[in-house]
Amino acid sequence: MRELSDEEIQALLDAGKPEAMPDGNHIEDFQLYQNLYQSLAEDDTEIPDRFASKVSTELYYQKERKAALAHRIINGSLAIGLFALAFVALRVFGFSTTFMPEFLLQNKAFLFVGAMALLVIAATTVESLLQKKSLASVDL
Amino acid sequence: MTSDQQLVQDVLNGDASSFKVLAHQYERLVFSIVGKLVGQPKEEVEDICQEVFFTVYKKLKTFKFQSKLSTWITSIAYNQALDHIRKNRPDLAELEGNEWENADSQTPETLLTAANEADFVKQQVAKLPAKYKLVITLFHLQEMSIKEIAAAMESNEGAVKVLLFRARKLLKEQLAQYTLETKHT
Repeated sequence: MRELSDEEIQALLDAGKPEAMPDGNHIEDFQLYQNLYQSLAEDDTEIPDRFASKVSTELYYQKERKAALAHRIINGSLAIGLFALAFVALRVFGFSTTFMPEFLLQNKAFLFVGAMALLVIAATTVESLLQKKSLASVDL
Repeated sequence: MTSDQQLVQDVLNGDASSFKVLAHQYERLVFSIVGKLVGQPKEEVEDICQEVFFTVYKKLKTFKFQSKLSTWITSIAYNQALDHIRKNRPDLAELEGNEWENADSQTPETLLTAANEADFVKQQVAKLPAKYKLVITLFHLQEMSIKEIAAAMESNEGAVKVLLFRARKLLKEQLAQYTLETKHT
């Protein structure tokens, strides 16, 4: 009787037809292949607890961090723009000499601090509004 | 519309809970590929799997269902695991065919470190080059077809059949050696 090759034995097992295996000296090889197939099909995959939850939560925080970064860039640009405008306004209209009360004229740092405070309030308000908008679109 | 198509659509519409469902549905597939290819430590495997799902999320809008979602995710997991191996174990990533088969000779001592046949097979599979591990895992564990495996590996069916045949033939020969040694002891 013709011996079956490795290729033929594998093909029979892949086709799920071990009963079609003819008798012969290849039976030892066939049994080895059967044992091998059984071992290869054993699933020892370990998945950490709540992996899918962790991944989607991490993804959510990544999106949050990205959104926060975008907001900071917008706020920073806004602040720089307002500073520039304030500077131009001071130069062009000469606030320090014509419109400001006496005590401001004596201390220009007061103007600077006041402008900074206004900018911080504006930036915080804009950022919190944007954050509220972004949180509303997240559905975990 | 299939359940996968609906799921992808929901994720693209911004529904984060749908992404959690998708991750849960495919975590076993991703962990079996990355786990088999990278091996240990577990923390490293988990980090790579997490990166795989981040990539899936980022690239999901480019997925047009030209293949199954599982095939596409397999391809991402394989490539990311392979990148990791290339950086950390280039010997396993690059060895091919005869070069690997000749390099992998067994001594009776190494044969007898396994507790049983299944354990021995696992040890031997862990020593295979990445491509061989992948075809063995996808075919025997994930029960994917040769066509799907070829699509995931961006290869052709003939090449996958050759890889599968050679890996199993070598594993069978090693198993024969192991059986012989355990009979003698």
